[in-house]
Amino acid sequence: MIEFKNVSKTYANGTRALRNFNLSVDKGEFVFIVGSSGAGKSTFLKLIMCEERPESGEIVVNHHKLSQVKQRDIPYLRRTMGIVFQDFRLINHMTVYDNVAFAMRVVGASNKVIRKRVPYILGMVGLQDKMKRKPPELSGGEQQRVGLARALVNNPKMIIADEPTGNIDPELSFEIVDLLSEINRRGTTILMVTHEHNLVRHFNRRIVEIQSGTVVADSAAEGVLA
Amino acid sequence: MTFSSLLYLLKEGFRNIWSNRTMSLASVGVLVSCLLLTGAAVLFSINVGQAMQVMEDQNSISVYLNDDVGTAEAAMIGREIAQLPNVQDTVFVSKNEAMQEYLDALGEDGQVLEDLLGDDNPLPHAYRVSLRDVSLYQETADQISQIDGVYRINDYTEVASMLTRIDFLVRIVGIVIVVFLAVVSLFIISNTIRVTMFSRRLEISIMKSVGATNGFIRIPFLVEGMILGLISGALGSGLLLIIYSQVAGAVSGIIAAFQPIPTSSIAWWIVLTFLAAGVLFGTVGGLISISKFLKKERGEINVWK
Repeated sequence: MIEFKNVSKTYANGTRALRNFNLSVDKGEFVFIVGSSGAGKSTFLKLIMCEERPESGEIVVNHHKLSQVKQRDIPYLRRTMGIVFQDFRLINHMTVYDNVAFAMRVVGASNKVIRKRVPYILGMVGLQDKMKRKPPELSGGEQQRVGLARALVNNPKMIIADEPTGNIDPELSFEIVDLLSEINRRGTTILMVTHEHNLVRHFNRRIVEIQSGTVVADSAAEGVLA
Repeated sequence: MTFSSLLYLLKEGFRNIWSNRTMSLASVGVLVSCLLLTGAAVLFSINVGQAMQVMEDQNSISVYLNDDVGTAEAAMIGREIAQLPNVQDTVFVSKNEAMQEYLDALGEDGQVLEDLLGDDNPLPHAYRVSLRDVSLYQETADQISQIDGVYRINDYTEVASMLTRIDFLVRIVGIVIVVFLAVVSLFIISNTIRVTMFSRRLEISIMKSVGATNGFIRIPFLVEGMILGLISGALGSGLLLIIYSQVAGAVSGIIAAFQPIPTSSIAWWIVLTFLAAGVLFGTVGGLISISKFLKKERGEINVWK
């Protein structure tokens, strides 16, 4: 699903974000990515999304060798993944329904398909009663569930969640990770970047720790997980 | 692309214009001015061409006699003109006939000048001379002007060269103004669309994150440019037609001999050309800003810290 082999990335300003980075995530896994600020987590995500290109090494995402992906094919690669942002990134003047439908419209889905799919996904995240509400009328946890619904609606193989609980109350954070776990149970790979150690401890999942641009600890490699 | 997508993109284009209406209004204003000036210069040129053609086709020379030439002497001069080889026919226009014609052309406004029909008539006797071969115009005109008692002849070549000079000037000034305004309109349209893009950067970043193609992201902004162009084209052509019909009416009232091209025969041509030019400008303006924006943003979603 994701394969990083000896990947290094240095930015134009000389910052060495990743050095000899190696990581492999299989289909259906749930992985927590932890690490302090500036450790290289964002660069790792940028490389997966093809927002940045590596300086050296090889990256394979959802069977696409990223070194061979052309600029014009990047949108199609991105359709295989759903992104959940820390700051939700919802469009405030649109209803919950329209925020989720937006993600389908822009990849060319027909109204008929949208009308069927959006209520189903909103039901899955427990927001079927709030479809007509606008984001500012919702709590942080609910807004993040809209963000999750939007990431899921195009049926991606993988969800990338960038500190999805960073802007919500701690007790609601567990609900969000519960939801991600439920999605993972249905076969979607989950990659979640987080700072919250209590969350990581609570959910017994694979943990990858990044420091100074390299993987310093991987619970899977250490045999913590079966 | 599905029909739903197309409808959605068109709707987004209209929404862009509405949510950014002040700038949209500014772009329409500038583009309308640009189209109006271009259209006015072209119409002027066409009419000048038409006027010159009419003068050439008239194939006649007006010969004015000296003020002191009496009727008898005028008749002699008439015979002399008629004997010239290239002259087909001569028609005598007495000073009173000429004044009457003039008064008739002025209509009611001419009533105050009616006193001039008698001895105070300032107009000279004249002949209208028609030619056999218009290509020998200049030669014949020279021969006539050498006859004693001929004050001057109404030489269309003078008028034609004056018209050509004015036409040339209008074209040059027109081109300079139009090029300047074209650049300004492109600048304003592309900025209008850039402002829209900037105000919708969150939506664009979400579109990119879920895998919308650059083509898809572009379309609402291109639609915005096209609609701005269409509105400008429609407004510009409407205004030009109204102004033209007024000016043409006024000009033909002043210069009875000149008939401007009727508005009805150019209306469709103007409307279609203006709409096409508007759409072209709108689309090019849109393309400039979009490609700059997407190039700057590249493949970035601009979401990670």
